[in-house]
Amino acid sequence: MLRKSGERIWSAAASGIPRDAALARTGRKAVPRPAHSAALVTALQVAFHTKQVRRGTRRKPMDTDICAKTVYSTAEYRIKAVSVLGRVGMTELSRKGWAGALRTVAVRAVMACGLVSGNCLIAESRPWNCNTGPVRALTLGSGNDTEASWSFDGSRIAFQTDRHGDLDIGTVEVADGKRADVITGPGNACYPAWTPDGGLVYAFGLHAGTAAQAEHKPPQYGYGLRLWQDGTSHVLTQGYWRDYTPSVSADGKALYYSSTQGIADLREVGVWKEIVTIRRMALRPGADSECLLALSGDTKGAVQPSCSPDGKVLVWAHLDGFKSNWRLCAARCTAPVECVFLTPVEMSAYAPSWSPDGRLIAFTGFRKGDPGWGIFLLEPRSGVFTRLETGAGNSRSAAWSPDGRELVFENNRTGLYKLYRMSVDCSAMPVVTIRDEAPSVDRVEARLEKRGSAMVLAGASGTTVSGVSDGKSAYTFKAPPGLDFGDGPFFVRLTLLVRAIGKGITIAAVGHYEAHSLGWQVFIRENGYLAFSPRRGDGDFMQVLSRQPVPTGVPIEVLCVRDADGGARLFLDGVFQARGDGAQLRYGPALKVCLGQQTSGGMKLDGSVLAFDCGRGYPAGVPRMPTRASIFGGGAK
Amino acid sequence: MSLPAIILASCSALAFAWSAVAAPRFESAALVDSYDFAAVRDKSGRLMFDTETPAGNLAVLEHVLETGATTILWRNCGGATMRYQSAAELFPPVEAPLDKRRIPSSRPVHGWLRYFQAEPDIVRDILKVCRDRGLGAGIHWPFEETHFASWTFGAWNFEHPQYWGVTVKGQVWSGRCSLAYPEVVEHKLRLTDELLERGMDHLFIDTFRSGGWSPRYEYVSPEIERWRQRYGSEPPENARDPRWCALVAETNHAYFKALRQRLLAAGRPVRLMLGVSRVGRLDSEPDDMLLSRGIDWKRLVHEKVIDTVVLYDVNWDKARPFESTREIYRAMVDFCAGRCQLLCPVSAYSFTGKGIKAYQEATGLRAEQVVGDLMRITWEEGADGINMECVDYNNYAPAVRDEMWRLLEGPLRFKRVRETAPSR
Repeated sequence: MLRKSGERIWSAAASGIPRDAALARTGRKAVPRPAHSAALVTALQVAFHTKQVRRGTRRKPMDTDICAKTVYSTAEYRIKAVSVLGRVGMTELSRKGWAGALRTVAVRAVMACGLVSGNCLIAESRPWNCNTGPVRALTLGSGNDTEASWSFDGSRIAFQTDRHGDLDIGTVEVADGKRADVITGPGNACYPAWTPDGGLVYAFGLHAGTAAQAEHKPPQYGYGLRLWQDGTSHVLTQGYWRDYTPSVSADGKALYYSSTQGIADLREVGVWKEIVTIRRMALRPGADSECLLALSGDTKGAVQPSCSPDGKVLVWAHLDGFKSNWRLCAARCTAPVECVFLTPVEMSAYAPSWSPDGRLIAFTGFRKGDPGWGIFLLEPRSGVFTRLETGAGNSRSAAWSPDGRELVFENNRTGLYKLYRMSVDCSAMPVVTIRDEAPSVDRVEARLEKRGSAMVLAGASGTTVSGVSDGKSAYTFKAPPGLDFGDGPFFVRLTLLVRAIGKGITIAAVGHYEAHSLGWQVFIRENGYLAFSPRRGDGDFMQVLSRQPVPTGVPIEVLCVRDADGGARLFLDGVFQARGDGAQLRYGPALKVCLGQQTSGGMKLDGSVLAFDCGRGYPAGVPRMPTRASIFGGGAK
Repeated sequence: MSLPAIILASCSALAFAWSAVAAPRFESAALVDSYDFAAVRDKSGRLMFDTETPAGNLAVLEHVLETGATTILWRNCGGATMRYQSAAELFPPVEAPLDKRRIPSSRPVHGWLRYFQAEPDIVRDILKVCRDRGLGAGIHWPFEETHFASWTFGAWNFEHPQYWGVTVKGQVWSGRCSLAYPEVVEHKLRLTDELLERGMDHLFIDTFRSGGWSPRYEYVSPEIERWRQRYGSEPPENARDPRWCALVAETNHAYFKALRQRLLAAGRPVRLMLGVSRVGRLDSEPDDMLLSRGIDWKRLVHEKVIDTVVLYDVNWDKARPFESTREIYRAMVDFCAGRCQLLCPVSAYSFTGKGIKAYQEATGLRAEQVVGDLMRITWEEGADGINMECVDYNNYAPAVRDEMWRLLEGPLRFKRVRETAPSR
């Protein structure tokens, strides 16, 4: 493997962009390339993917691998292509003989050409180094100063401080460090965000009594948003819920924030009602707000939403389950449910902040081996990120100066959190081009069919597995082939007819694996909500729930998708319901698939499975997962 | 009165007094979680217990005492969020939504409790009440650092990610800091000091409530290094590998020893109690608690690190519920004899399907009959008492409470001393 150490190289699908032009931007000399090399390279990708999917070996999804993204030069790919195809051939040789091996290699080469269009461009680049200046203290004295926000005109920084006990909002002049108290008094005033005209939006809560005393839910007992302008605060939102982490769009018209509004009354949330969603409203008192991202289930949060300077992309910190980590998530503002994760599940990442030019996102993060919380800069299109050197202590919640040359953040090196500023120079950041998503093997592997009087699962390879009936409408299929999805994407699709909701959970479909006896399940809860439950990487339970109870007496189309990045999506009758995170169980061969009942024969569905198929990837009718390209747009940036 | 009558009466009085002095009280320890009372309503819909106030917690205590409880083990935390004014867990603020790494609970009443700033200090207040009433003033401290919800994650945890648990795949998890780091142990001991300063006389470490933690999250640098030095290889990917769990158990063992030393330094007797679950045959290997919690409870008993074993549940046989229960209790009494005390479960909770309700299903008896039988078996086998998990509002029904009270104030008032088999 001829990977060059210390370099990160991006590859790009240059559809629509002249290859030579893209090359020119990197400073590389254009090199004529034979037309067949594109097919060779894509055959490599497909072969790699397919081989690893079949073996169920772990593979970081190519499209979302961001920690150590390294791809290869043309020469390296050529060598690799030959070696990989050779290894694939040898593997198949041992299994199927010469004829089978040649057929497999040829099929994959043909598949590669059919699946991928356009030229494949590989570009080299310099490593990404951000130059930072010295870290300089902005605030001193007692109390913790946190959650800094830099004014649009660059003259002041607002922050929250607890130096008087509860939280107040203060400002500091950038030029001379002069400090002023802006919002003080009883209660917690927190999470300040500037408006372009010099106002401040912030969250405020004042709880005078106990929870029992507040049971009649007076609205002022919650956390609402306020707008401070010209020395006066105006109520923007108010209710017995929590609105916080506001951000103002660059044009000053819209306000994005996290909210628990309505969660207490939702049926489809867990016992703790531990959900926080994203809302948006026009920035004026009395404006209505709308929920942009409905969430359901247990322990789900979307916090600190922030819109890109061009108004197109929303980024936030997302948590899916108490065993997961906070991750940065991005989506088009017009379709927030179609989101991609920007940071890996292995690290904790939150508090995103767009740079003024929209090229970078600063965030707070921690990875195994880091000394503590740190400030990271993320290039969202490629997913590459770097940790900034900010010295001792935890560094958190960075905010950009309007000119994009400095960051302000909080750090606790003195024992208290104080604000610090630091210059940042990322002009050396190399050109980044976005790759088309890696081709995947998209195939229905098993489909329920009636053959005479028997129900069978018909496999893609022509095999059939007869179902064992329970005498009614439930079936068990032993060892259906092709369902060894590894950690790649797969789908389960059913048409259900539910006659009645059971008193307990009833099973529509379940896949039984050695890795987990309930590897994936589709079931209906006692409250009528349908759940898709793949498994987390360690086998732990997770689920994505429908937004409403399923109707009874009419067929419903259910589509469940586990994406390569561990996302889990649920659709009912073509309508997106919910998405989960962390579904990373590696699936070997299926031991059993049951329809209409649990693997033990119990928990029978009161109804019928009218149609069923499942398979890998995204064949027709299975929407692909959102990608960075779909969020941030294709082509060179 | 004639002289013989006087002599007889005096002897009877002396005998009674002697029994009261020689035989200690049969203990009834109640696990109390005031959080569970916070949303209880009466028939008119009015909240019955304002658990952020002294009056509300006193009402909770009064209800619990209807069971005849002699020791109160008051829950000090939810996950790693303390239910008193803890200086060690003061910052960042626990109040939702002031730390944006915590998702708030929107549950009515429960989602708005602020025990951490209630005046007066809840734990200090309730422990004093217990002491004033002659009750065992104890704390129920779950081993967990999260109660399966992000709003229970601790402030200290959030501030010290470098001590977080790590999976074998390198994924960090804020749900628990590893005891492999001395700094984490020190933090726990600071919390212990806070409880001692508030008058705690009994510390019950609840190992069943692990908050999702297990040796799976102990792939932290110190443990990996210890493994490499011992075995010359990388640690196993299977977190239930007995050798890996034994390694983690060594770390936990060291923690319990440090905890014991801190209690001994308190200057007054403070009992260290340990929860043990799913006990069946004592010779069954590998031990379930070792694999699921990385705790070698038998070693803790052998080495007299703990004062009391508190059984949550035992693996009794549905075909012979009381007989098999008696056999297990007898074996446990023999095992603990000379080493530590033993409290046996009379549990309204049934996470493992072994509580009062399961006995009812297996025997067809009413709850108060089941409870009475369990208490008698515990007493007859020579255990030191019973524990109740947890005493919530009316989960020990009135008839059950009456039966318990009757037994604890009557025939089961004092412990029965039984000759035990030699300890293994």
